[in-house]
Amino acid sequence: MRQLNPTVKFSAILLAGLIVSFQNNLLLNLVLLGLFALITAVYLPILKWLRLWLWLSLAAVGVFFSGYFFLQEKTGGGQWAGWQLSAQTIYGLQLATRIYCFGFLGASFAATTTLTAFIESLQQQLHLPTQFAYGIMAAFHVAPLIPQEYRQTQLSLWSRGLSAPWLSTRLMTPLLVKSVRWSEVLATAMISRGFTAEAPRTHFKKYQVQWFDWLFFSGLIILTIILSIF
Amino acid sequence: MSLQAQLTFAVEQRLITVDLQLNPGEARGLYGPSGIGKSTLLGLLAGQSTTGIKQGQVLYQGQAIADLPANQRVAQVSLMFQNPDLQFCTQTPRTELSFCLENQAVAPTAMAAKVGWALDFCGIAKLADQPLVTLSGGEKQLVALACCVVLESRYLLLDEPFANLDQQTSQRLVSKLKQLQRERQVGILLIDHQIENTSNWVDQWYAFSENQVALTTRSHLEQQEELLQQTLMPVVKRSLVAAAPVLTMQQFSLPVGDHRLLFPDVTLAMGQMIGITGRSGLGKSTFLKSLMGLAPHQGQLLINGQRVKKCRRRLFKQLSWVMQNPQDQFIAVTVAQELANRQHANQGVAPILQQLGLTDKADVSPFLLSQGQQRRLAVASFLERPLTVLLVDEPTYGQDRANAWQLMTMLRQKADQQTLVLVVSHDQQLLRQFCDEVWDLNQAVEVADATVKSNG
Repeated sequence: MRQLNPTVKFSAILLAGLIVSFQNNLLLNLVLLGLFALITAVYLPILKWLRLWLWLSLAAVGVFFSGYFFLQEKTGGGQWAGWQLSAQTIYGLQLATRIYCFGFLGASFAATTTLTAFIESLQQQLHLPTQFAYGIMAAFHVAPLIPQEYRQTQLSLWSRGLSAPWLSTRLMTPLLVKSVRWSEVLATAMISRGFTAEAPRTHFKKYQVQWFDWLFFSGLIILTIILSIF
Repeated sequence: MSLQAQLTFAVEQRLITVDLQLNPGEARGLYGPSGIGKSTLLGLLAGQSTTGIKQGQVLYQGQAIADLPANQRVAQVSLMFQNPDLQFCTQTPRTELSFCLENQAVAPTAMAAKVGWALDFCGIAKLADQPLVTLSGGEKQLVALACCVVLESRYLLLDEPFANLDQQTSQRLVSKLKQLQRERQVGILLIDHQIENTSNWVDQWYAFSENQVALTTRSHLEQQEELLQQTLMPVVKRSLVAAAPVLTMQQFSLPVGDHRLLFPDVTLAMGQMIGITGRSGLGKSTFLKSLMGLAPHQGQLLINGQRVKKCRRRLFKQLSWVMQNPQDQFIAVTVAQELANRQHANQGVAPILQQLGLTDKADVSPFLLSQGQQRRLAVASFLERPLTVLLVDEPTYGQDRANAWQLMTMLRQKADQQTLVLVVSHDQQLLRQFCDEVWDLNQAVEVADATVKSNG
């Protein structure tokens, strides 16, 4: 998964997710769930993986019961893998497994791609405008500073013998002022490194679409289509 | 063929006329009190903007810098910023340097070698893949220099390059700059408040006055400094009367990166002023943080009779921390409000403003002050409250001699009002003059042994 081109990987996963969301197909959901839960298990530390299950289960249980109780057509039901299930249960399961499916599809992408790689690849494969790409990157690099800044403002208030409740304007105003300043300073920094949107640039790391990217893409999509039809 | 600037530019209400020339392979300095417009001028010379230029232009090899797009500008000139935080666009030194080369459309195959060379040149090869946010101020400054080196600009403009560095690192930086100047014929123009940093190197200085920038020599500036020194108020250190202890350290040690700082058992009392010095990246700021429970320590630490484990508001009832970067701690919209600390608004602020030389800035946002002015404001806004412990991180960073002296005097006065003051600074000379004791953390380092490292 790590070797795959981020753009191709993203498109395949997005498309698979779309196919899942347009139908109620328990088998498809379960197959994708199993497949991508396995993939994520390979790339995520086990504790993180279990925590992912926990969070997804919380959402899935909720969705299951809303499906179970609010299904209009309560008659019917059927056999599934030798089990006698009511229509309500089947509908609930269809919805719940979908949640897992989305969760693991997304997680498998996130666990195997860095933001920098994704954005670089978007630039190189889809010709995302450079100023947009570096804007996003800069924003992501600044994001971890926000809680830090919040803490610093709090300490600064304490150091003056003042205090402020959580998320009060006293704490948030300096944060706003600073984020405006950051964007200004970062823009200057980028320009002084010779960055312009118009001029051609080269890329240190080349992202290319290779045969295994196409294999992954077509494999995943064909699998979902086959399962959708049968 | 050289850098030529014949300008009249505006700094606030003042108009400053400058006639400046710098040849390839030449090094000159800019000198003047803080807030006079040195950084503004450097920005104009780097072609970052043209706002403020009333007349004239900046020419590189006869070509106006303002007419060039950013990617061609850097081939001529690179500017190293004053504030080492917030001047990077990517995550690690290596990616930052590649970013510079990408902007220059350098062939990808040639990049790795160039990046490696520039990192080596600046002596930071081992930091190449560390996240930039984890580097110390001095290390960031070296990365910034590496960027300028990798861009291979013909002229290098440096805004107080040594302000954040210890003596050893400054000297290393100076030798690198000399090497660039000699081997690559780079023209260097730098701002510095302390001309000692560049002794035996930069002899020609552009000195700022209210409305003019004139070329002068090092010896002339030295004479001026000596005269100034005589006008400065002498330091009065009160002899200590057995005062109450406020800070006790026992078997105190501090893990910092790959090493550990070991401290002797000490008890510090009110009214003492302790200077803390040591090379960049050693953990001076971390030491201050550990005293507030913001960084983990081992051993016992008592402040005001309470054990410090985690950072709690309670601790700050009698303790204040002046951070390294003044911008981190501004909370108000104007300078006057900043000083008033949201109490009875703006009363009694006027005399402090005057003392700081900021009377005309009362209604300006603190972010719009010069770096030196911000520093003074930040320190002053913490001195009002009665305290037992005051922690100050690099108060004289970016200050001219007179202002540094004034700041240290303010801190000394605070100490004399029964406060324990701990000051971190690279300026050992200044610390010796004002402090009762100076701790050199270089002597506290213990390199972590292999077992500890493999566990970490």
